[in-house]
Amino acid sequence: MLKINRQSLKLDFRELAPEAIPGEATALLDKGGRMIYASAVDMGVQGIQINYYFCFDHQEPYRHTILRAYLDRENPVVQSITPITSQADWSERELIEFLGVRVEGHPNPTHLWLPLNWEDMYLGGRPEADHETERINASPPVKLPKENIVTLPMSAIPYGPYHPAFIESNYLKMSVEDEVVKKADLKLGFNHRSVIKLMERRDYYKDIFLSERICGLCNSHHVLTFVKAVEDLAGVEAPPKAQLARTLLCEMERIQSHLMAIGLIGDLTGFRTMLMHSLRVREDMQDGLEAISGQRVTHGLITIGGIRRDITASQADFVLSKLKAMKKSVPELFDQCLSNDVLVGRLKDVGVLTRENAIKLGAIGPTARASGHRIDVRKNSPYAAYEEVDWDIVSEKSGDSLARLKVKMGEVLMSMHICEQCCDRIKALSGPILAKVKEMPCAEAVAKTEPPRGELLYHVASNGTNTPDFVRIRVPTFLNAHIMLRLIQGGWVGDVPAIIGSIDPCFSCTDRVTIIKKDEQSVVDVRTLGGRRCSTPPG
Amino acid sequence: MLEKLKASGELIANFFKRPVTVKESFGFVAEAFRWLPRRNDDLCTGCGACVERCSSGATSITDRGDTRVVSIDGLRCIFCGRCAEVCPEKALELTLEDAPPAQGSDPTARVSLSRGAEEPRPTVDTVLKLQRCSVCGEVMPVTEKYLDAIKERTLRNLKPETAAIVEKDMERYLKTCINCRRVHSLEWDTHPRKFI
Repeated sequence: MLKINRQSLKLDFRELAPEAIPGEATALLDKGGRMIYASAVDMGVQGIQINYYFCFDHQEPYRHTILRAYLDRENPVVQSITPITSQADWSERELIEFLGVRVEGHPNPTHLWLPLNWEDMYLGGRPEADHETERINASPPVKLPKENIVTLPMSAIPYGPYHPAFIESNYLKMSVEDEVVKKADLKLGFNHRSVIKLMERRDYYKDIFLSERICGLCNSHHVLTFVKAVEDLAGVEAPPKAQLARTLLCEMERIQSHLMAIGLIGDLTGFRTMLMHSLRVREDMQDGLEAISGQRVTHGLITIGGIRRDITASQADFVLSKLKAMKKSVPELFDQCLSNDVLVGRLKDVGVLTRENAIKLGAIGPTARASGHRIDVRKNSPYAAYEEVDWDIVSEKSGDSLARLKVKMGEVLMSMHICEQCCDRIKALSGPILAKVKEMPCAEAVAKTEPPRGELLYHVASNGTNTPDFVRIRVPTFLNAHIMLRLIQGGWVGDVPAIIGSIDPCFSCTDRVTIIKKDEQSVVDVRTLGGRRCSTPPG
Repeated sequence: MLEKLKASGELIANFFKRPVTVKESFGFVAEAFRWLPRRNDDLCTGCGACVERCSSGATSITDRGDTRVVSIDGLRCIFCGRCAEVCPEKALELTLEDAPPAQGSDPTARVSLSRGAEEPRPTVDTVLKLQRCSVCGEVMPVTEKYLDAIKERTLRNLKPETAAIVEKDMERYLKTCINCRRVHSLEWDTHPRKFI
């Protein structure tokens, strides 16, 4: 019998017919559930498995419901639930693009990751085209893609880099009328890395290093979530000292990530001095991270069953001394930023997300908390040692860009408070740091954590071997970037950087997809590729 | 003239000054900092556990003739230390050297990250001898040291009187290639499998 971890999520898998999903989803949403993700896996003979993840942990700790349906592989059709809740919008567009699922009734089934002329590129517009001989058509599309923002009778402004060497490889298209944004559309997928697909063919210990490299700013959270899911599968629980060390590492990471984000808000609104100063303050935290983990970016400290290297008392003392220095410099920096009238004027009443909208659109992380929606995975379904330390959710009421900035500032101070407690306890505690994994049974596990940007979800399925059956990842930006587009629409062009900066999107997390080609000669129809599981949706 | 003298004076003074550049990481090396692994050649048996576990594909085993080269590619290594964790002989250890020296050339040469052809890649190599079959003389895909380690480990777990009986047969069994083993094991008096 598998041991159930104290901190594992309460999962309720319900298998339904595909037709019954909209009705069941409506019932769950009426009960106050949050639709957090929809993923699909091609299971071969069984058909395409679709999972809809509903979360109730703001009502009852750890409670989750997962609706599951199997679709016919040859003709995968499912009713869209985006008209019921727009929280499912991007998830369903993902199903359309990467699994070839026909989602009927979706209001905006345009390409988000794939090129706009995807069908023309690969099939020449003819679905019956010969898959063996036809090459990829590299020429530009003859006809403009339908329903494209470029075809609207307004001026279209491409905003942001269209080149992978730029800061974030996203491409935001806005159609503008008199400096007011009428419609905004985001194009992702410039940064394919196919992490999920690679995870399926490497063993669990190698996957740890792979998931660490998904994001530079929240790499410990990615590892922790993956490791938590695998620990649930294996039925092991990390020892108390390892839990404290994980909490310390994650909170230090939150401090450095938020300080970076706060500086970037200043940079995007034309106040680069603020970026330089926040990076100067952040350097103390980076030194602390280097002291306990050995590296500044990819720490490699967390592993399945605990942590890999012990945190000694002298390392904890070093972090405490850095925190002491930051207790002086951080509030000073925040006071200087908030007393700048120009910065406050640029952010106040810009991109207001009301509490009702935040709940309706499924906002998470600092974006939700700035609108007064007090959700936080650390409180709702506590993991690591968050139950044992003293802390509280930081929230603001007004929901504008300034409130989002203030929430990030408050969280930096709160994280410093948590770090101090963790350091004090680690110094006093001694004991094992690693629990041994004995077996890996066939099972599925879902794990959640709260990275700096919101809620992160990993779904890991094991088939009893040393490699996972499949891994699905939902990153926080996936939900928040969808809200970002809503906030941009109807605002001024000049306010766009302020809104983007305050949401703090991380597109390198979101772009992890791949498009697989058999070889140079063959044509790709994502659905008809050979093999058991052919295409990889992003997480 | 005076200015020229001044300039040359500065030149001479600079000649004896210490270099203005400082070492990477500004002299501060964290306690947990780790860089390229070093392998203790005496302990390594060439078993391949590190190759199995390497997450970046930096570690490799190459058999050429009757030698096996276990190497770590310094440019591919991500310094995770997984190889050192799984090594059964504890032969690997992550060092604090701040630049991996290029082997085979000037040991003080700094390595740039450019992958030029003439640039020697920093490697950590261990050369081991492969076992030859005691009957036919063919090269077997295992090293001598690894078979010795297996023999020693197995005998340690047996009772002393059993170990004394089985030792010679076990040596013959282990050092025979799989084809010869199939042919000749029937002729042997005691089959080592009975004891292991």
